Amino acid sequence: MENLYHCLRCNYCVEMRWEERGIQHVCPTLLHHNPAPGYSGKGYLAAARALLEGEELPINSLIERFFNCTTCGNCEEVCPVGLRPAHLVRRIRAAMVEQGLAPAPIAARAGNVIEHHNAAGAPIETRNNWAASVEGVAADAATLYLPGCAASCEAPAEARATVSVLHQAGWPVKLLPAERARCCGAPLEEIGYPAEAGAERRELAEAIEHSGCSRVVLSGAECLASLTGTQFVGGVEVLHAFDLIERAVADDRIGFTPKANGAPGPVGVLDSCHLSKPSHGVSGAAHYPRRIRALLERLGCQTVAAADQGSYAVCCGAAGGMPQMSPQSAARMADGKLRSFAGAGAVVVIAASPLCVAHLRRSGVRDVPAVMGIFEFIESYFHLRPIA
Amino acid sequence: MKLSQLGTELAGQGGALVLEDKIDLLGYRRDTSIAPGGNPSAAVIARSVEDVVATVTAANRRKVPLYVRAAGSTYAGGANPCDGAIVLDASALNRILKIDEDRGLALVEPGVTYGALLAELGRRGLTLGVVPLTGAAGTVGGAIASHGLGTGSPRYQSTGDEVAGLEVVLPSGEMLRTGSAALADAGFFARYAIGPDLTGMFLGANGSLGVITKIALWVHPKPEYQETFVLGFPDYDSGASFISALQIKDLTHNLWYGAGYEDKAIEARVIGAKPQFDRAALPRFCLALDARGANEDVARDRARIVAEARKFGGVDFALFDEIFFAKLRRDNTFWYSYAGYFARSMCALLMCSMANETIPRFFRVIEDNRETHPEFVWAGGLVLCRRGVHGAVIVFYNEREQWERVRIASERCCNELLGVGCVPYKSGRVWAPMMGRFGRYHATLARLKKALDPNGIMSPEILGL
Repeated sequence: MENLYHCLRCNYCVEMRWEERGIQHVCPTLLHHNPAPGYSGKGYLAAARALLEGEELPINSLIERFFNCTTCGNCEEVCPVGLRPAHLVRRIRAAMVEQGLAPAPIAARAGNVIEHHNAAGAPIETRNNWAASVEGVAADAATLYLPGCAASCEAPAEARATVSVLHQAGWPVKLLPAERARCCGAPLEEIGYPAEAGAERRELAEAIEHSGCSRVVLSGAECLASLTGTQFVGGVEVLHAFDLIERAVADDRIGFTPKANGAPGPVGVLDSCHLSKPSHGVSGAAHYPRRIRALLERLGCQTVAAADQGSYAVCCGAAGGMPQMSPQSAARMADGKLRSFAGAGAVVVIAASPLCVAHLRRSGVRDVPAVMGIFEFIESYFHLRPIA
Repeated sequence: MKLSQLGTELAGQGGALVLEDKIDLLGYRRDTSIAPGGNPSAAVIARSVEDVVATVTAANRRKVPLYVRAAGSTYAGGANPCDGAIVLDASALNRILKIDEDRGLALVEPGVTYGALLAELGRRGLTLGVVPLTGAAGTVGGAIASHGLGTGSPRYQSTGDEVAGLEVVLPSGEMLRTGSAALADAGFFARYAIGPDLTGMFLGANGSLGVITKIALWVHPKPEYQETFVLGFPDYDSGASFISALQIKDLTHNLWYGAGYEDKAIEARVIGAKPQFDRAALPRFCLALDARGANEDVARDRARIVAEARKFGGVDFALFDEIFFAKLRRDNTFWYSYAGYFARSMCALLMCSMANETIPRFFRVIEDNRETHPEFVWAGGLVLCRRGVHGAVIVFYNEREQWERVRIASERCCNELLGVGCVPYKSGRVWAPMMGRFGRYHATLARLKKALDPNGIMSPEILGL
């Protein structure tokens, strides 16, 4: 709580540009939903301070403001004194939820996870439908593949492509039985349901342990952050599917041959928040989009960068309950992203987070650039072969 | 006032957004300073000059106080409203209207941030004369309305010295263009034209005489080369004499930033990085310099500056540069240093200007306050200017528990600074109680204010007006 009193009102979390650091803008909500300062990092801190001091604030306005944050964490990235407004938003949301104040679309999303164990609310028995007729799934595989809710239900092409690419590279994967599939808890955590998130995560961890696999490969960016910190009995290695491919390339264990259709032209790589921001646990060399760009360039692809990039890229609007709370604002965020890539000359935008892929596709109002998951892209344009 | 009426009145103007929700208004109560704020009754995010005119007119008609702000990152309380006021938020007036390389100026709206403007200028090999220390989010309008200083001050002095002209909405709602732009067809190219300089009236005025809506700023070639170096001095007197020599010999021409550090700061930085270092070998005062320009010009000036420093007992203090200053200045990381002051706790910043001979007395005031108010952590620093220096007294405090007390201590310190010949630089509300000390100057300012703003709606209490 002391940190609430350390906000110096420098306005970095509201709006700023710092060319050398790739900062073009900061807050997607202020840009695309509402420019009022109550929606900013410093606004959240000020509101929390006022609440702490016993001021009466209009509750409906508080709910509207605290639930229209993508929790992307860009305000935390730019804060010069290390304050954590997005973290605060999650805590205040949890307090509101506890008091029965969750907005209907948020409660519905939470209900999906709690009832169906996925944020989309797809019946649990359909969880592995995406995998029908996919080559590369083996019951005795040592690697467990968890596509996550977003890939399973909203971006199934990326889940299929991931399994296919891993298969071509010589890694068959096992899937959790549909009835044991659970959410990693991240979507619940973001919208103010930490206890329910913990319960989901525990059940998922038990299912993972029960699978007997020593390695879990994920597609979901938010799942990675959520499961990386989980203690598994017997020790289980948790990594993103891209980690596996990158490692194999570095060890010269797989080779890529371009398909006859050739590369599509300049590609942009989305800096998905969960894969690129230190506030989401990814820092320095771990920055996934940068590593993906490096691999694509090694494969001969021309990459282009959006004006905002790296750890300070503005969120596409996929997370934090934004698409549920304010679908039009979330769509504007997505369109802003695609516009930025189009401006840089990208004909394809690649994302390693299926949540972002699904959101950009759903919200995009333009044909160019096209949106693809990283494995969809690899499978579309390259043959893979294991190197003996 | 009925806020919804204000919204209705502004509807259909230039797209202004009228904020009435208490949660949104929380962010308009205070700036970075220790000065008390108030609870505004409404805020207007203006998106056009028409919005500004409409807001000023509406406030005047209702005789409701109106305060102007953008990022609100200044530290003298110049943007802090009184209870019931309307706040005019100029941060969405953020267009770079023109970069005119023929005339050597940029025409911008007041809400343009320094980060955005420097990025655009940088693409053309250009930069600004003075860039304040308040960071990438600080706005041009905020800086000139509250007297900014920082990078470029040894060469150009203050942000106001780099203003070629202004467009201002007067409290009456009428539009004024200053300097050469008074003739519409001529536009901005000369500040001193026709008669007295009206531009200066609005610089440092914190919106108390009108709302700045356009700013013409001189632009300059971006220096190709940069290096930093630090000179240590045995005491404040010798450091002050050296600064005078530096200035009168025009050796500040290729210096883009200079900061003076007192003994406590030197010791904290050096011993923090090298605990074994012999404290007795540390200089009492040091001047850290950031030189930019053509490589050979910088090398030539540096040699002359070092030779001049020796005459005053100055020595090369490379260690301070290595452990602190070079990193601070590289890649604009100084923008974060401003905030870095706040990392340990909140701090009060009392900004003043002084002639060089006042420097030892300025540091004496800080030392006295350390003894009188040990409950706060006191620090002081100087920013080198083309003539004289700016001083900052920095008082670290715990915002939750010590806000009231630090304000009392700061007011007392301000009075002591006045007593030794320091004058307020950023005045706002922090120095407002002392404005009576400026006699006829302040009385004349009050008369001007009365003439321009008969209802007294513009930023009342700021600058003691």
